[in-house]
Amino acid sequence: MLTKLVNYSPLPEPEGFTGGLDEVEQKGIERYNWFKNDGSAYAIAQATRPSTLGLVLSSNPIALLAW
Amino acid sequence: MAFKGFGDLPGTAEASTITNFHIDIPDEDIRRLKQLLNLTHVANANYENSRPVGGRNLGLRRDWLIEAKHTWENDFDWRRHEAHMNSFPNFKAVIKDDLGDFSIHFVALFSKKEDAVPLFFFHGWPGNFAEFLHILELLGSRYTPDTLPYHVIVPSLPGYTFSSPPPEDHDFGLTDVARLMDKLAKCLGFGGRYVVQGGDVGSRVARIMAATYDGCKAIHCKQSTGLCLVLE
Repeated sequence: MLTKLVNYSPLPEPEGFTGGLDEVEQKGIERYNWFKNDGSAYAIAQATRPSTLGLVLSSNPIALLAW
Repeated sequence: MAFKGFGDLPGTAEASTITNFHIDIPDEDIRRLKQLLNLTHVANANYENSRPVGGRNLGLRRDWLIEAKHTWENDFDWRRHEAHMNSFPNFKAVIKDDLGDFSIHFVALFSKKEDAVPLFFFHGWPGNFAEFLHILELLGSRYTPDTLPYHVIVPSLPGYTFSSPPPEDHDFGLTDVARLMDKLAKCLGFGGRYVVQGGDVGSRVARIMAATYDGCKAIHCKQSTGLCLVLE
């Protein structure tokens, strides 16, 4: 029997904390925000209306290629 | 490249549920595809699809799509690609499950070494098993069936290429995919000890297998985004 406990809780930055992020971390955040704001609409559409998209994309090969 | 000997099922496999598979798309389907391509009109030029200097910040470019359509209609030879895929050992396994019987397609190079490690590669979206064919080519050129350190198995996830689609009456998800892939490992006789690798959607399948099944001993993921849109 495999038993594992995983606890995950996002923590806000503590008050008065000035450590900040290093350059690599900052770039990672920027890239994540770019993906979230400008690169991920396709995934949201697929996750929320898979039926509509499935019907559209299976109707025509050029439509599927474009998507 | 000929993969002589790499396609011999290991003695541990349930040979009665696994068959060799040969890709052979009917001529009629290829004709229909070409007709659809030929009849399809690409949208007229507009501001959004014709940004200057190659810009695609508003989405796919019209000139790219016209060129791709032209290439697809005139230069693309499915039979050539099909022959390449068929040069690898292809199989189908019937996996019995509470959700029904699934026919799972996979490409594999099997080793004859006693201590060979079973290694599963899970493709992403929009992708398929062909993502890994160049790795199989490399391994096939560097090793023989007697020296290959791994059994390398590349399944088509349910709904992709030649594997059964998800059932119509069940909200099929990644835990279902992971269960079927663990059953595939068991069907090959590898259920007690195997390794998984996955990218994109495949990374999620791999993660669930690592967390759920004792037989999954090691995992390697790539392209596993923090954007959790696929319910696990």
